[in-house]
Amino acid sequence: MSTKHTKAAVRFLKNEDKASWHDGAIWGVREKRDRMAKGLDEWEQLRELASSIKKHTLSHLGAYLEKFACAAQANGIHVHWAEDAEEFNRLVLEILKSHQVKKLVKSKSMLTEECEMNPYLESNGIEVVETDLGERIIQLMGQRPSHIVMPAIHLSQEEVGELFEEKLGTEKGNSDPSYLTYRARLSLRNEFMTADAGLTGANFGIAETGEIVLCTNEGNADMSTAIPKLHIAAMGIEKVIPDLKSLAVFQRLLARSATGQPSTAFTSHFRKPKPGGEMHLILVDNGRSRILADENHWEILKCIRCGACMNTCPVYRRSGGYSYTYFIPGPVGINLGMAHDGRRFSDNVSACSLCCSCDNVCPVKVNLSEQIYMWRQQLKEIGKAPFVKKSISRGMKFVFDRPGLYDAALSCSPLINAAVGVSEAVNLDIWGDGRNMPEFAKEPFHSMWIKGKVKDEK
Amino acid sequence: MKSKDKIFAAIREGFPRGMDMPSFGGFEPARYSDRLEKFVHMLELVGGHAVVVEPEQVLHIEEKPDETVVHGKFGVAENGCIWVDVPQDGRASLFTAESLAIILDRKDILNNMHEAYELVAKEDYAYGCFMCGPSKTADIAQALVMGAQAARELTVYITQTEG
Repeated sequence: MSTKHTKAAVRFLKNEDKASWHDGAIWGVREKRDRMAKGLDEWEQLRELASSIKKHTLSHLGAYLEKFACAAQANGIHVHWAEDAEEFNRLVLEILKSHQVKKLVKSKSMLTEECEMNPYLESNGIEVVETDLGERIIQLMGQRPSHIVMPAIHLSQEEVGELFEEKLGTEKGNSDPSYLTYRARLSLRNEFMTADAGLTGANFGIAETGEIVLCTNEGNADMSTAIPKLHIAAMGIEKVIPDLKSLAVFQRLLARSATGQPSTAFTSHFRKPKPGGEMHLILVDNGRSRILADENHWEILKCIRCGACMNTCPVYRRSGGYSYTYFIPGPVGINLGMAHDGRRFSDNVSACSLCCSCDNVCPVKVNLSEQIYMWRQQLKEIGKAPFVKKSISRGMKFVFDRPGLYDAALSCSPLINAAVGVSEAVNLDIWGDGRNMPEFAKEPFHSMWIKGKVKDEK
Repeated sequence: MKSKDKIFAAIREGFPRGMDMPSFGGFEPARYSDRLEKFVHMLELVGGHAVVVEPEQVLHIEEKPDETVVHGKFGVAENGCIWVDVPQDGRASLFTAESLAIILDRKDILNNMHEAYELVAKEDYAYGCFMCGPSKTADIAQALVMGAQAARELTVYITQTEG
């Protein structure tokens, strides 16, 4: 028995050099995050505050959304509500059509990935240009992001060089990152100048002031919105926070957790449309209100999408973003996939060793590993527990409930040393796949202890 | 407003209820004995340059070709951020310029983002931004490159007002 994740991970690990680079590069980001966290005495207090503010906001979500929407409208922003991805896509298209938009420049937004907005708009005749460098690379490749903050982390500079040779006409064989970035800059500048509208996501919506806040490094979100007259912002309803005082807490945590920077290069506040321009804000539910009503899993809505949980995850680092069947990988992606559609995305729950490292780095203290554990317990309920594991679990329960039988079985265990090959041959060895079978001791610890054979080795 | 009503009805079924906003009691964020020194250190760490000048020298800062010069309202020592809120018609030039220069008064350097957002809350702006060094990316093989889409250089001229 293997899940889709384990099978894809095997494929990822076939290219040993690349897999090892991926592991190391992402661990490097985790180390940078650690240096930032240790540089602030109040780090743990900040995490606790962030978690409490999110819990408070989620427990008063209706009131804060109402306040946010009213304040945004008072600022001259057109506010729309989308119940699901389909409605969101339709709204975006309607707004674009009413402004005769042919080309749309956009900054990175996981929500538009979630709603599969780009293919929808393209099939309706809109040219969509991703302007975050990583997203642009992925778009030109015809791929999807493999990490929420570093979307092209699975590609080598040589692969990007070859792509740019073909798509942007760069020098043959030149894969210098500075050169490639510069050529992308020139090409994207042309896109900004010729676009009819800009679309962004939103890291935070401030209820008190009715503004949205974006945290970015490249400046592409600001260019996408400063040049074209029309700005559309897409925001999940869980992204609202009470006020600017709360924002200070999240702003301090986000970049430090995400990339180990003290702040992103830009923390941009969009409060009012440009004179003569329009700003539209689309608030999207798409399953979030349903997750809010799940007693075990609503805390996943606290997530601020920093990606720290994937950077620290030993499974993510060694299996890559494409090994997961949900578009967001890593611990948060496992949980979000299950929360949105457990039957469809259950393959990912195996991608966790329950080391709990994600819980310790999460800036808003989401209990990620605990939730993955709970999803595993719920697999039977949603009809996704594998037959072999169910049978083995039933067998283990039978033995563990009967101490006499357990002792008898244990005394026979050395025999298993010789019999391992059998279970492998009949494909029952689901946990042994890719691991060495440990050798059973000749005598169980329990009986060694009674006979006084266990000595303190100090 | 059909969708809005449906969303709000669903939210009312939500699990978390009545959790209080934290009080921030006993929370003491980082403060620095020398805010200028910390600010300059952080600014350089994020790829910006600091030049300390006399107030009268500001008048002589010459705009280079393709450079935008603006005034920053306040700086933040903990991370090297500078709050810039420009009129709407000046927004694009903050980002399309090859280099950006920000003039900042030394007395306007604050300790941390909590102090900064207390002041932002009193401002009236249509668009505002905390800038932290030049535009940057590491999207190709994790190699840090300055000048992804916006300004490739950021210089902060720090002036000292008398008294």
